[in-house]
Amino acid sequence: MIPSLSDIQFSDPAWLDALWGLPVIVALYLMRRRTARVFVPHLPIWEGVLERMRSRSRWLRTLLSILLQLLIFTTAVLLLAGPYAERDVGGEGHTVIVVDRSLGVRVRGAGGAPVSEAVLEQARELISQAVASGSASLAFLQDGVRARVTATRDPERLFAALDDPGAARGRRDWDAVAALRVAVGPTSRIVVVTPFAPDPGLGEALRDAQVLVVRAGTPQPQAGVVGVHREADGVKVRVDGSGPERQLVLRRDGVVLTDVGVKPGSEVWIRIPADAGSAPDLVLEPEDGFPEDDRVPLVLPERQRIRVLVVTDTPTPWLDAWFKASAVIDVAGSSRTRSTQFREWVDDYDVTILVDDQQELPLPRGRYVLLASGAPDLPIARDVRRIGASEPVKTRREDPLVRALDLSRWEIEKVARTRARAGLEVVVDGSTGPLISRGSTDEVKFVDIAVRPDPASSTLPLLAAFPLMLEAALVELVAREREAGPPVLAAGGTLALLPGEEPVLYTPGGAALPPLAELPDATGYRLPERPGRYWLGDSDDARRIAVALLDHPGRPMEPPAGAQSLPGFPERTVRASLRWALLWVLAAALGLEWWLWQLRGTD
Amino acid sequence: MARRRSELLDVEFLSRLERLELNVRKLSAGERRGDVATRRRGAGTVFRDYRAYVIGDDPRFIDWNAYLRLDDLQVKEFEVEETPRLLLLVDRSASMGLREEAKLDQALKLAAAIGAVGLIRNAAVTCTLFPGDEGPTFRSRGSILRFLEHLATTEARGAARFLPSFQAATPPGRGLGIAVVLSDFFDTGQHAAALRFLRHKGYVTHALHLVDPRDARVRPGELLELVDVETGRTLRQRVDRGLAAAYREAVAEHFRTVESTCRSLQVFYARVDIEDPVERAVVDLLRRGAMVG
Repeated sequence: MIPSLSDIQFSDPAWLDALWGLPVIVALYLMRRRTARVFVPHLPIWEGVLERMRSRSRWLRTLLSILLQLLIFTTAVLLLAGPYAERDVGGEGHTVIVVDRSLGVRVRGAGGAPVSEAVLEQARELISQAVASGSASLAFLQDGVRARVTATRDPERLFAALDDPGAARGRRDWDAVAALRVAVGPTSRIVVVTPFAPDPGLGEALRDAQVLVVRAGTPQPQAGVVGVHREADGVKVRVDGSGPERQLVLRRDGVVLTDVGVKPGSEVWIRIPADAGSAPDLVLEPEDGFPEDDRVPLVLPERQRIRVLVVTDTPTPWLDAWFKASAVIDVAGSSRTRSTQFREWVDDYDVTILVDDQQELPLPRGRYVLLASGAPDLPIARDVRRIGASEPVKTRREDPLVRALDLSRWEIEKVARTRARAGLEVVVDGSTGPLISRGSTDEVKFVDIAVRPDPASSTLPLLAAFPLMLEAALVELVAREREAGPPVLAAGGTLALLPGEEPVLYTPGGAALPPLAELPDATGYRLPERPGRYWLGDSDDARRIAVALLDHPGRPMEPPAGAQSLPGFPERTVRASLRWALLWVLAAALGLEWWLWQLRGTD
Repeated sequence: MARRRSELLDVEFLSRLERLELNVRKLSAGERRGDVATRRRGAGTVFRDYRAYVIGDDPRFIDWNAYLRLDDLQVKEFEVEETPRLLLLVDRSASMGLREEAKLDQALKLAAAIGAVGLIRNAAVTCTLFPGDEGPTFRSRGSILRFLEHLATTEARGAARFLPSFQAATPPGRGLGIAVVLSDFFDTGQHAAALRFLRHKGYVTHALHLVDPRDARVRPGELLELVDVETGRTLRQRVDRGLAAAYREAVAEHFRTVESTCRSLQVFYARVDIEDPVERAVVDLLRRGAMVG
C-alpha cells in the first residue's frame, strides 16, 4: 500500500532545508560556460597544431602518470597499514572557581579600592586559564559555596556572572570548601580566589593538589568591634583586628557623648551618659579599611517619666511652671511636701528636689536635686549667713548639665557662699564657690544648684536653658532600668524569638523586611546582613534589637602571595589517525591520473 | 549569395582595363586566328624572317626573288595570329564563403577584372568555378556581360577539389594559354598536384592566393567547438594563448608552403589580402604577373 503524501513524516526534518540546493543547481547550470561554435576554414591545421603541442607534453604526462601510479600504490599500501601519529597534548579537566564574595572582601586595599575588585579581576584571569584547559564552573564563597555558573567552556557566561556579582556579604565558609573538595571528582580542581588565608584548622585539609587558594588583593590592616556587652550603666566593647590604637566614641545624633581609647585586641568599658537617648552609636575612629565593622548601633531601653517630690516651705512658681511643661516628669505621679515631712516619702519618688532647704540631718537614701539647699555628710558646705552676689568663673562646657546654658547672661544677686569638699564634681564654679556641681555618697546621689529658682536671686529661671538643665539633672540622677536591654546581635547571626513574636523585622521607618529564614536546625532565624536597628513587630511595645557587623570573617588576614597561575592538568597522549589525510592524497592522485588518462584518449 | 554584375566590375574600371594589353606571348594558340600576334611561326600574314629551305617546306613560301638574287632557296616565315586563351579557375568552396563570402567576393572581382581584360583582347576566356562547374568559354568582348553574370550567380559551397576540377575545366590535349587560379588554398596539398597538372598541360599558371587575416585569429581562453566549414568535422578544444599563437603560426606556415610550392612549379604566386582595393590589386597583379604589356 502506497502511503499518501499527507501521511509522510520526517524524523529529521532539518535536512529538508537542503532542498534549497535545487535552485543552486539550476543557477549553476545557467551560469556555466558554454562552448562557442567557431567555423574554421581548414580543421586539419588545428589538428596539426594540437598534434605538435601534445607530442611535446606527452613525455611529461607519461612521467607524471608513472609518478602518480607510484603514489597511488604507495598510498594504498600505507592506508592498509593503518598509519597514526601520537603526540602529547595538555591535559583537560574541570575547574571549579570559587570567588570570595563574603563580607570581608569589602575591606579596602592599599589603593583605597575594595579588595573585592582585585578578587574579581584575579577570577577573570583564572577563568581564561581554566577554559583553555577544559570546562569551568563558577561559585561564590558566601555563607557556604553558592553555585553561579555550571560547567561550561564559554568564558563569556562566566565573565557575565562576575560582571554582576551582587553585594559582598555573608561568611567565608571554609568548611563548605572542604566539603566541595570531597564532592567533586578526581579530574576536577578547585580554585578559591580570596584575599584572606584559610582558617588555620583547614589549611592542611585544603593543601591538596585539587584545591588551590589564590590570593588576590592586599587588604589594609583594620580593626573592628567584635563584641558588645550591655551593662546597667555602660557597655563593654571588645575590639579585634590589627592596627594602631583608636578612639571608641559614643555618639548621639552626631554629637560625641563620650569617648575612650582602645587598642585592637582589647576590651574597654564605656559609660552610657544619661543623655545618650535610646539609640546612640558606638563608633571606632578614625575610619579604617573596613568601616562597616567600626560602627555599632545600640538600642537602649526607653526611659520612664520621672516622679518628683518637691520639698519646699515656700511657693515656687517658676519651678511649678517648669513641672507642667517638662517632658520627663510624671506630673500626676509627682508631689510636693514640706521639709519636715519628706523623709518618709522619698522612696516613693525617683528624685527629690529640695528648694531653699537646709537639712540638719543627713539625707535619706535617694537621688536629689538641691536648689540652694544643703545637708550634712554631703561633699558640699553652704554658709547661708553669707549671701551676696556672685558670677561664674569656671565651667565645663561639655557637661550635659550646662551644655545649653549661656553663662554670660546668668547674673547672680543672691547666693550663699559654698565650699566644695572631696568627691564633689564642680560643673560651674563661681566667685563664691561652686554654683553647679554633682556628687554622691554611699546613700545619696545629687546635683546641686547653688541659687534659688527665683528671679530675685538670679536670672537663671529666666534663661531658656534652665528647664533643660533641670531635665538633664533629673535624667542623670535617675538610674535606667535594671535590665540592661537587648544585646547587640551579629549581622547574619541567629535571632531567637520570644513567645508571640513573628520572624519579621521592621525598620525604624515602619517598613517590614522579608521574613527571616529559619535555620536548618530550627534553633532560630538568620538575621540580616545589614547593620541597624530593627523592631520585632509593628507595635509600640515591640522588642527592638540592634544588628552590627560583629566578628565578621576577614580577620586575621595575611599578606597575599601575589597572583598565581593555574597548574595544568596532566598531559595525555593523543593518537591521531592519518587515514583521512592519505585518503585525500589517494583521491587527488586518482583524480589527476584519470584526467591524464582522459588527455591520453584525446591524443 | 546573389550579386549584381556592377558589384564585380564597374564601367569606369572596365574602361581603364581596356587600355591594358594582354601579353600575347603568354597566350596559347586558340581555335581561330585572332587579333594578337604570337611568336609562333606559322601561316600568318605578318612577315617574321627568312630561313634556309628544307625538304618538306611549303613551296608557296619560297621567296623566288631572293633565289634569283642569291641563288639560294630561302623560305619566308610569318608569325601566326592566334586567339589567346585565358583559363580562370575560381575556388568557391565553403572556406571561401566564410564571413559572408569575403574571400569569394574578392576572388570573383579579381576574376571579373582579369577575364574582362582577356575578353577585351579577344581572348577565349574559360571561367571555371570549382567545385561543380566545368566552366563556359567566353570569346568576345560582347560576352563580358554574360561572363560577369556567370560570376555573379555563384555562391560558396562544398569542399575544394582542385585536381578533378582542373582536369574537368581544361580541354583535352596540350593547351597553351594562361591559367589563373584564385583560391585560399586551404587544402591538404591537393593544390600542388593541380598546379602541376596545369603546368603539364602547358599553361602559364598564376596562383592568386586570397588571404583573410581573420582566418588566423582566434580568441584565447574559451572552450571552442571548431567546425570545419567544408567537411563539417568538429573538434572541441579549449584555446589558450599558446595554442592561439601556435595556430597563427601554423596558418602562416601553410601560406608559406603554398607559396613555395608555387615557386617550385614555376607558378606565378601572388597573395591578395581581401581588404586590399580590388582595382589596385588587379593592376598590380596584371603587371607583376606580366599578363599585360
